[in-house]
Amino acid sequence: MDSHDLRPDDEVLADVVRRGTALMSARKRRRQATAGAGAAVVVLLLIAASVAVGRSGDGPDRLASGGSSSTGGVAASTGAVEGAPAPRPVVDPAGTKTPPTVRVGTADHIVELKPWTTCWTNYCADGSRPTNLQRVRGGDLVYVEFPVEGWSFEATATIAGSSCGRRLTEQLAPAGPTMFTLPAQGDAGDYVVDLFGRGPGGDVSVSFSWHTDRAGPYPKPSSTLSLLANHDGSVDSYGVEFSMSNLARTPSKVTGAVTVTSADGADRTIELHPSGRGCDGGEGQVALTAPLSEGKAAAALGDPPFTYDVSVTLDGVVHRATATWPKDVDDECAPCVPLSFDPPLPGAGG
Amino acid sequence: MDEVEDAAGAPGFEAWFRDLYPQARGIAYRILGSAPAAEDAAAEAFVRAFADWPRVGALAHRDAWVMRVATNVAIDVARRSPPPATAEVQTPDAHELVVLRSTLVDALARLPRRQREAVVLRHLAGYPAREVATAMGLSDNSVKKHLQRGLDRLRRTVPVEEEADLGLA
Repeated sequence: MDSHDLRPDDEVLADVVRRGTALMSARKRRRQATAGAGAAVVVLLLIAASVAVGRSGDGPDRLASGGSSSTGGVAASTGAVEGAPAPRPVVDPAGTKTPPTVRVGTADHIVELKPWTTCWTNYCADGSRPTNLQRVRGGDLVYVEFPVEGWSFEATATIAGSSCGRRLTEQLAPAGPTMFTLPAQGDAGDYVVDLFGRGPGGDVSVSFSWHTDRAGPYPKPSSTLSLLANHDGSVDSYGVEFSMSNLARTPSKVTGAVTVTSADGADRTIELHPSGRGCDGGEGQVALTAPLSEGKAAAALGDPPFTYDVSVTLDGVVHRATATWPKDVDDECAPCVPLSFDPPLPGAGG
Repeated sequence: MDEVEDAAGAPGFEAWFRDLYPQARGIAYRILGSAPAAEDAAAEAFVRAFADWPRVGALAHRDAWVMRVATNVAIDVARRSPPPATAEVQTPDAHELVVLRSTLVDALARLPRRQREAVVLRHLAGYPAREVATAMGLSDNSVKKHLQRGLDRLRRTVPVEEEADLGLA
């Protein structure tokens, strides 16, 4: 970019502040207008409700009541799961303008989470995790309910207040067509949990804070290597990335290398180096990399199958693993291959 | 600069802006190929940050957040606008760059949103996978999946040599 094309940063900053202030004011006005209209609606609804039930009913069922930000597209209700929040009627995304909320909790306590980032039907909205997270009670397991069928959810939990702490990731197990379970992992404590769900209609991200009062299992250590890739039938490389997750602790010294051998015996050894800017992975994670040119050179060695002989040294202890590309490629992270080390990688939680 | 001093109500914003704005503008430029349009896209991202500064400023990964917004604004602008007119093209190299950029924007725009964000944040902005994951509300593994699939799709559209020219390789 030619410098003469650019406005001075001071000028842009002044413009940003001016427009940002205007945007804040506009949002404030909208909130005030919405609150006024909402209050009027609430008064009308209360009057209507008191006329209809004569104030003799059981009161609102906070677990089964609405609150979804969706409109329309409602189908039959799903069955209840013991200990879980009551499921809402199933929603057809095609009949909605915004995604439903995600409900997290137990039968006795539930919080309703509005997605802070979503792609829904034909639009996307970017946001960021709220600073004041809703707090979920549930000592060692909570339920997650989302009233659209065919969805899956993944949770990433980080110790609260630690931006570079251990990250515990787990795929939620289905407990019904629109219900999932999230068991506690790791040591008991305060966690920030990000939930990412996707399925028919799009995807949503929500977050909450969760105090777990009982320790759960730690995920097992795992490791993957991405090096060679199938590019429309020919061998290529999209980069060299090696990672280890859920180690007992982050090693203070790590070295690694991978020797790639083609079917006809040609080989090349690639030194792996920490990729790290800042915290790339957090406690118990290791990420190593090598230049793309190394991957390309390995791809040019010969014909597949290729053997990966991986050696990593964690604080003086050598661990070795072997894999075959493309036979061992994991569809979930293609072109990466999972690695199984000898001796096994040290896991958290003993 | 009265307005800037008024930004005292947003402590830390000015220093953050001065640190990050050039990078956001640079990423937007790679996508848009026009300095004024890149400035507008980057500035728009900071406008949104300023308007919500108490929350955005407290984010652990606010840098990746603003890059993500700048990227999406730039892509949206690129989708709505035709590539720069031939008259603006000064040299054969510049012409090739316009074609490359059009190819890249087209390829990026065709990627599913999450794949595009992951590719741009990781490979254009150079953020570690963890920061990308946090900014996007995903796990590290999900980011890796989006990256691999995004790169795979991109490579079917944009030749590798051209990716290198555009800073993607």
